[in-house]
Amino acid sequence: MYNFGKIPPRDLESFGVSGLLGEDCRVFYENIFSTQHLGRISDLISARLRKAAPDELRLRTLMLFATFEAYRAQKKGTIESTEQPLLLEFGIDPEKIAIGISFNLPEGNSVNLEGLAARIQNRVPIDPFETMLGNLLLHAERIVLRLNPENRRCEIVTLLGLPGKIDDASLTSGHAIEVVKIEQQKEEIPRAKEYTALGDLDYPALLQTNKEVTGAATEEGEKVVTVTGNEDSTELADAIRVRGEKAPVEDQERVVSGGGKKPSDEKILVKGNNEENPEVVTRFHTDKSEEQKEARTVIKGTTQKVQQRVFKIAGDTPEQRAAKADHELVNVSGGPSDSVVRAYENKVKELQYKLSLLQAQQKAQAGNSEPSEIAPPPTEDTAIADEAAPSETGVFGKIWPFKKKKEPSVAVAEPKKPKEESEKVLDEIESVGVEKSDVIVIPGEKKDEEEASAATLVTEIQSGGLDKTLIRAKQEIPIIKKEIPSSKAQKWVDNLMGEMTAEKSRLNELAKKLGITVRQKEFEFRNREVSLQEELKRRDEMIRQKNVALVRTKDQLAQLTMNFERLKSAKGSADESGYRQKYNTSQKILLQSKEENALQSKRIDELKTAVTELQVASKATGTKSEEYQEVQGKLNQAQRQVEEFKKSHQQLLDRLEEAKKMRLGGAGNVEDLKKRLEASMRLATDKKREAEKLKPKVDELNRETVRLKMEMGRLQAENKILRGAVGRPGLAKPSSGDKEGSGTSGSGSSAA
Amino acid sequence: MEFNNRKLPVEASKELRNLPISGVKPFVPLFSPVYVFLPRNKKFLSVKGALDFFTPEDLARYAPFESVFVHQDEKETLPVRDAAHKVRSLLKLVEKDYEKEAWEGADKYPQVKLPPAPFEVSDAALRMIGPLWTSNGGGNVSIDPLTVLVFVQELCEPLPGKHLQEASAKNVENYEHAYFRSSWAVFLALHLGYCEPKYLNQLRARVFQETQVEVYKNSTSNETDELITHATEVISNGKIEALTPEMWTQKRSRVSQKLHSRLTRIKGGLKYV
Repeated sequence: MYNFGKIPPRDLESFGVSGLLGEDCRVFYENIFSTQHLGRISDLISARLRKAAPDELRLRTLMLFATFEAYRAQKKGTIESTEQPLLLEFGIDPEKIAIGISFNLPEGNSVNLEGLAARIQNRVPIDPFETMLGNLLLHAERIVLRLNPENRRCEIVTLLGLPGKIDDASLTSGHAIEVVKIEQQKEEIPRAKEYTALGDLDYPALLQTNKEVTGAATEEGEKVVTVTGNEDSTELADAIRVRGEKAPVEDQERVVSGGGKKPSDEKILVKGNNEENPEVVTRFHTDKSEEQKEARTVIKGTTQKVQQRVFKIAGDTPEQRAAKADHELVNVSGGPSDSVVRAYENKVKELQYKLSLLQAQQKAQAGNSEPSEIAPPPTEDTAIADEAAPSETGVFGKIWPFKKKKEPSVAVAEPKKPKEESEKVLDEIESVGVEKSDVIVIPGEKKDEEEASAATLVTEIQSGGLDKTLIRAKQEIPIIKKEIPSSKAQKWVDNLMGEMTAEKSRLNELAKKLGITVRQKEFEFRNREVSLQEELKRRDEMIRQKNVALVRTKDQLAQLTMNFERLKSAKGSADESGYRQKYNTSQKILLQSKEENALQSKRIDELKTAVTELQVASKATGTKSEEYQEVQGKLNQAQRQVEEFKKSHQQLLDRLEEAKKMRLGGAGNVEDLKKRLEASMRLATDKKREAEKLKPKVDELNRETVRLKMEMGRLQAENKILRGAVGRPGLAKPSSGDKEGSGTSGSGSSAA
Repeated sequence: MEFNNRKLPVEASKELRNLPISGVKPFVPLFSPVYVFLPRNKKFLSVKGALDFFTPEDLARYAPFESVFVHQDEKETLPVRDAAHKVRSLLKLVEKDYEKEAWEGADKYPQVKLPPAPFEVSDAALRMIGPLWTSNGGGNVSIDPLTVLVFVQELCEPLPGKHLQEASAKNVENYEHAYFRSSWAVFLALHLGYCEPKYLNQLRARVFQETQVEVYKNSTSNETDELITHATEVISNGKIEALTPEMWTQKRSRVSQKLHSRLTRIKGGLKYV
């Protein structure tokens, strides 16, 4: 009977680790098609279960070993990707962890379940599969083997008890391996409290080795990582909250990656600024492998407002650096503010560098002392130089050379090699016997110090020890002269006194000159500072204006693009519908003109017939009046117009066909089509107008035709009358033209 | 799929999209009825129904028309197609492109580049397909079956033409159900973290074939079988409805519990657990 821990299994005869765990269990799962990323999966799952897992290495061993062996069993030893994935499940409940691997045994492989448990416990395996189970048992506290012989589905679940939580008695009692034959998998399995895909875990945070490092802010501005342990049986959670809020200006924290052979983890903590002469603290941390070294330099001045800046150098993982680099890229592309700030900082550093150079020159001239090494201006690329060098230059440049002659001369770090330089600083501090944690106190503001020193020098010369010595010598010399018998010695003393007095006056002069020089330099520096500040302000303003202009231009561009797109879409749809409407209208007009043309043709045909009849009649009557000539002319004109109508109609039809073809083929541009359509519409309108103009003419022609017909009827009537008169005696002979007719009619009439 | 308008007037051209015959691929189902234009009748005549496909013979026959017309669905399906292309490139990245990239950049970056781990791919895929679920208000989400169809067609390789032809000739309704069901199975598999293109293509073809021969194993020993069972339940015969996470709330199978947790994550805005 299977038994492991106080919590009994909920369902042994179904696949899945949840059946072996309690109701509060959580299950993490992943499907893998190859063993390529097992290491990373084990990293993630061990990070997730770190607090709960008793032995991370054991957990990893079990997982990796079981997975590789299962993979081997499924693929018969090949390393190609499998078609059916291996299903990994990691379950945890208040007292144990279960690692389940499901896979399909290849066809032809059969597992002899009879006495399998006994064989493995007695270490007498009969095939590689049993050998694998035996090896697994070396690392696991329990194994549950589930097998469905019908479809060769196999699941190996290895179990580990949580120390302090698992019942000790259950570790020693019961079977180490439980074999379960599953005939039919149940549709429903015991419900787990939560099923979580490994991809749903916050793996970027879980896989971080150094969780103290603040990362870039997430989209939500807050990243919450929950690490489940097993501290209590209900909710096993530990939260790491990393806030992505922007730190205030006075308390900035930056992480930069350092170079060098040995990655160091350095911290430079600087409090205060150069102008206000606040407290400055520099702290160096070297590599963990070496002895912890720490040096602190505190420069005390007037207690004023203190600002704090923290620089953290190196110590980042490559992923973090990449993420930060990405973050920086995003920031740079997102707006100009970073670049502006960087440019501003660079400018400030450059100016500070120039100032420090001038200070050093002034010191060299005034005090005959060697100028300290000045760091070159920081470049944009060097991470440490960006922040560390200016502050250090400012700090060390303020050391007054006259007063602290015995203080260690501290070399300033060269920007591109932060670690080496920091070590150099530490070495030098060590060489002068100062403890690494010692505090070096340096007087306050330089300008005040220079002035005070110059004044003090003059005062000391005038009223200091030298003056007193001289006065005392003058008082004592007459007494000594009396005691000295030699005139030569007396002369020597007089000369010495004279030289000393001359030296005193010379020193006075020098002190005065020094004071004047100091004041001049001070004045120059002030002027220069003011001009530099003005220049900075001007540039700052210029940059701000440019930024504003850039933003405005971007806005305008976006607005223009939006308008353009809107116009494009609106114009496209409006044009299309307009064209369709015009097309339909032109078609209608065309049809109308066609009908009108047909009607006109019909009328013309009728007129032709009438004219022909008239011609025949006139031929018969033999009369050709002037009116008939006129009608004939009008008829010809009408015929010509009809011909023109037909031609224009044909042209319209051709154009319509072309337009249709263009439309169906989808070729041709819209402008061309528009032009053609407009041209055809113009033509149709013109023709319609012409047709309207011709309409009265046609009506007139019709009327003329009617009149002619009436005339014809009248003539015919007269003709009859005349023929009747010819038939009667006493009347004149008819003309030759009338002979045939008269004969015919005569015969007709006679016949009648 | 039944549709009423076999002929459309010429005015319907506003709602139709021109598709050159040369651009139509054989054995790729289209999601709208397909029309050709008859110039003499001035009408659009439908030649294929929705979910129907062109064979090479069909394409040769309709070649003189030069183009066919389908309903304008491009704007509606563009985000879906876009998501499918992204997932496809992600899965291809896992397969080989990543190695190629690493090789090409080897001079510049001599360090070994590893392709993304399965959990990273699974997370990225979920982030891409999550926005396809539409919110119904009150924190509920659902997805349209046609969206799934479009997505999977863009994601996977086309089904074998022979299978499509046989299925369509045998029973059109069954063919359509098979097409829906196979797409659903792939879509659900992607949610469960099965991010292997070969596996997804095989799964799709398998479900399509099994639906054709009406083999319903209803097996749950294998998770793939369980997945197919779920797809069958969702797209049962004569019933195609929108999918909601609540479908799995009450069930206690392994797949349903996993699906529920992943869809809950989508509902919660894809935040890490």
